[in-house]
Amino acid sequence: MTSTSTFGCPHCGKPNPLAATFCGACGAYLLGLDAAEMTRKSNPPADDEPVFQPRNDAPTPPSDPAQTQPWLRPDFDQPESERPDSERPGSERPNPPERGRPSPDDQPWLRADSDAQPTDPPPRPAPQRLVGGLQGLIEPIEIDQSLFRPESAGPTRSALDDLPYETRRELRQLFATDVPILEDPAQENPEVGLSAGQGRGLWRRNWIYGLLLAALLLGLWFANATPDSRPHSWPGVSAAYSAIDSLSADAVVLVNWAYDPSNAGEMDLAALPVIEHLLEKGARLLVVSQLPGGPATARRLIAVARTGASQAALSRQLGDTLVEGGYLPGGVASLPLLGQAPVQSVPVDMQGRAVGNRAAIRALATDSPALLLILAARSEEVQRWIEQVQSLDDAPIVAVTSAAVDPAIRPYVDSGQIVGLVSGYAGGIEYQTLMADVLTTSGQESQRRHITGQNWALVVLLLVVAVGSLAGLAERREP
Amino acid sequence: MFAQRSPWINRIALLIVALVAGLLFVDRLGDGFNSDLPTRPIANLLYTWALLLSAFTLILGVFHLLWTHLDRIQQGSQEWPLSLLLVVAFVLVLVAGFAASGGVTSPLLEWTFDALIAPGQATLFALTGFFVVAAAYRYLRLGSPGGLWILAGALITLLVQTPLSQQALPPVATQFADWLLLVPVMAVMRGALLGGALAVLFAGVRLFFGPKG
Repeated sequence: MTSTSTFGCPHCGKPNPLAATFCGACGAYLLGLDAAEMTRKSNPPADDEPVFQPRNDAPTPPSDPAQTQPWLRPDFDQPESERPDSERPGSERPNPPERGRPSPDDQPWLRADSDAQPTDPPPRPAPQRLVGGLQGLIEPIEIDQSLFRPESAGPTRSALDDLPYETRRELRQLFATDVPILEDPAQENPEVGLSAGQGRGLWRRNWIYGLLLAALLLGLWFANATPDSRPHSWPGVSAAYSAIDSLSADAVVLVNWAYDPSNAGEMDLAALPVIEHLLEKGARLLVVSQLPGGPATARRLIAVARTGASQAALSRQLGDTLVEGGYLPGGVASLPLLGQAPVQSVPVDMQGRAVGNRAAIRALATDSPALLLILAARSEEVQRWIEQVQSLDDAPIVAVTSAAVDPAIRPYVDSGQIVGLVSGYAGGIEYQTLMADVLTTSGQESQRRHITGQNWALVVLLLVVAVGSLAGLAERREP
Repeated sequence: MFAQRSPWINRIALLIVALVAGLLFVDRLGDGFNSDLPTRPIANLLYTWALLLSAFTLILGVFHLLWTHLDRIQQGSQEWPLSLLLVVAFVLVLVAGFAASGGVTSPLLEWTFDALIAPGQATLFALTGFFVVAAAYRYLRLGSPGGLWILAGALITLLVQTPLSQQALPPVATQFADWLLLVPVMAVMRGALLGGALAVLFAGVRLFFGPKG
């Protein structure tokens, strides 16, 4: 047995190596704890087991974690002039903690005797910041009450304070628990003598890898999606189609190309039918991007859309109807100008020609664009345009997003700030269906490939979930 | 904030920030009432400055990056060949962009984008699939804390979204998945959005009027 190589974290209970500086689960500062005592508390050693002794040649830990981690000080936000004299740099603290041990005032849960006093929880320091807690994960987030009552300097209490100390500790353990999987049994039980990749029952990694590989190969081998199979699309696609279909000829559309090749695999499938529809309608596009790789990605997809456009649309596109605004730096700070004065925000295009003289978007000098089209792989890009651009030019927004962004954007669809939403490749296929286009043979083959791929991805995921659950259940039965 | 500087400098800096914020606020307020206020040209000028400033910071960042990696090469730091690779790639792309007649749309840079940047980014992002599989194996478990609810939500969404399974499911399952997205999930997202907006608002109020501002 190698039980003396770890000890339980006094904060969350997670086993940690004796040499650990921070807890691997909750991040509590562990350096300088009395490791031998903590080891005895968590794992009582056998009589013949050696007890951990700190090495003499180990680096000397800091006497106070607040020296190396000043953010641990409760008065971290206060200016120097407002701190007590004893806490200013260069001054001696009245009662310096023992060398090698973190200050219990800063981290009360590190007290070795904290578990022995379940009815007397350690005092909590009053929060000095706007919000407290570790992202609200371990303990609920707290709003600093001094913001509303500057005079009240007393400590605030949360609902957790009313719980027994053991219950609070269990809650911390619950949120810090990591499901142990795929532990190499040969490491835990050297006497078993199994090599990595082997093990008991469901721990056999080779089995899992083999199943995954087999499912992938089967998916590639049997491309058997039926021609009429369609993915389920979320609401909002038909509204997006109607908004674009109602555009008049030569309407100016301001396009935010907020994805680059990293997301193009999914985004192109959703964006292509929308761009094709805009070209068919003869819309004039001013394309800008706030990603360095965005303009080049846009140029490629628009070229693909043009190859699929009808002759009538191509003849209309012979005019100067596409303006590549290029890369727009500045993040959110540059967007209000795009909403108030687009031509001033994009003075020249990618070829260095002045945008203000282009007949295609001359209407933007006096009027708002007829439509804002946002092609985004992140929800923040859509939110920024709603807040900083649409609020100034009042143009309707159609968003084309990845499927993962859909839930974060849908409240804006429900409120009417976004008139249409096409999300993921399912939305793209639904949009293509609405266009009533007769797909070419290659288009049908491409669509069938994607649907087949998603079908088999589902099979793989279901397989993985089933194996994982069985492994978890089997693990709980272990003695 | 500004604790190490003179109080007068602190106050002047805060005054400038407050003036700019107030001017932009008044400008946006006038836009909300559909009235053209005289603040519009000043606001546009400030926005243009922000645009120019951000472009300048990009150039500054490039110089800093080069300086850092040239220093690493000169010092012979660990993994200095990678720094050398970065500098060589930077110089090659820069020369190609300036030397070619088409600038950023020249065939050479287009080839660089198509053959190097796009496949590299797509490859890195494709690794997400493996992370998803690993996460599904680790956390979509019946025995893990809260795993049943997460597993149920993930399964219903997956089964409804996938053509293979959707054809076999009754319509009520699809309606239930739509309801999940449109009611509970949307409520949670609205709460998060409103909470985030309120937090920003209170942070701004505290910055300007707080006792430590």
